[in-house]
Amino acid sequence: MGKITQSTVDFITNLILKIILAVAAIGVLIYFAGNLFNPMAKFFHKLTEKPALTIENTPITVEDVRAVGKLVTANFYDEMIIKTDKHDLVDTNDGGYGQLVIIQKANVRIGVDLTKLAEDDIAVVDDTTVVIKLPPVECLHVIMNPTDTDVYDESKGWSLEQMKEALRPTEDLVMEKVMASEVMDRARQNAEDILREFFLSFGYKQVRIRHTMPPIQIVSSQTDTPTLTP
Amino acid sequence: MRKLLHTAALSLLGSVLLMLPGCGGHAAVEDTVQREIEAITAMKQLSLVEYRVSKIVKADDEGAWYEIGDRKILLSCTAYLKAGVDLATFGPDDVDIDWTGKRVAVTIPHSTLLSLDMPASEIRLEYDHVTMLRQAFSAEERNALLRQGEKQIRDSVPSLGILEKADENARRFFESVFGKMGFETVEVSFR
Repeated sequence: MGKITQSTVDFITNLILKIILAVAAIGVLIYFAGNLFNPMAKFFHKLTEKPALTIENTPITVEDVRAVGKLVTANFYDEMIIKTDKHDLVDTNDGGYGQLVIIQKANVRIGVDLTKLAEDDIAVVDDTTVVIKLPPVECLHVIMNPTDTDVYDESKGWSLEQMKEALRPTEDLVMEKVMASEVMDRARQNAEDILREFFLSFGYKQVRIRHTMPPIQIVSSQTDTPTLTP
Repeated sequence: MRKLLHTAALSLLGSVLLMLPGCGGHAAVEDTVQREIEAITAMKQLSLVEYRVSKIVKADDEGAWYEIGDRKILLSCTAYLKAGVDLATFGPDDVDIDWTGKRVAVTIPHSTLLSLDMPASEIRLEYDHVTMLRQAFSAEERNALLRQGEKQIRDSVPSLGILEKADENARRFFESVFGKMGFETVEVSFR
């Protein structure tokens, strides 16, 4: 084994010193560069920033006014992820490719349409009991506004009509969930509780609530054999 | 001297390489707030009037200084506004009954906007124009414009008269209900 010569020791010492110097220089450079590049990055970001696109304040036209009498007793909330490929479109298929992913929120208001109450649907018996024949609980409306719609990802070139076609099944999807949940029963129970509380506050001793069954819909099939669908 | 310069150059290169990942700033960490949202909520709202309104959403995009050309878009939309009384705070204390005189006085909250429904099926693209060097409006951009339209409709509710109409319908509704119960005098007031 050879001896370690003085020149070897000098070389190693020089190398170590150079490494220390390099590390120190790197540290100092990082510190100053961070202070320099941050404002520069901000400047370039501001320079290339796109102004937010805003709409003009156009007038709103009232087209129709209707008196309604709907007692909303429950709300069903749901979020759905809608993924659609262009080649899945039917009405607006333009032969293109690409995907659209939307997170869609929905609120379904459920309750009773009180305008369906007939004159004799509220009866007072013996001055102590109120008997109410309540119309069936129904989905009053489904709310899915632009603020409830989040375009998560899209490839280029999705027209408004294509996006509308992609969103078309969402109302049926949310209605399936409503029917599969207990929200209709809860809405019915809430309606009973509200009306019971209302009439008991008038001093009546008892409030009896009967529910009107939903109308039976006759659906005729292609074989002309009518089937009853409740 | 040459060696020292060589070392300084290596240090500078090393520092730039080390800095590059950090150039964009700190890695974004999105706070995800976990919350449980009850899918079914009880409500006690009496919806008494529905307004159908229409609005044109109009935007002109002249673009940033580095973009050549402009874009214009016109969308028409229809919204259904429902106003009425929130009965959550309505209770026995709000009803004053005089059985002998067949008189009832009821105090109900003022009407508020209960829902705004702007269905996608009633949104139409009336016009759009995009110059050659610009990109067409994306679904996200159109949706952002429609959100602004929705907000403008919501903000205009006090000036549309829908709340006053709902109060008027509330008065008629309760007069009708109490009339059916046999009361001859019905006084409806608001709080």
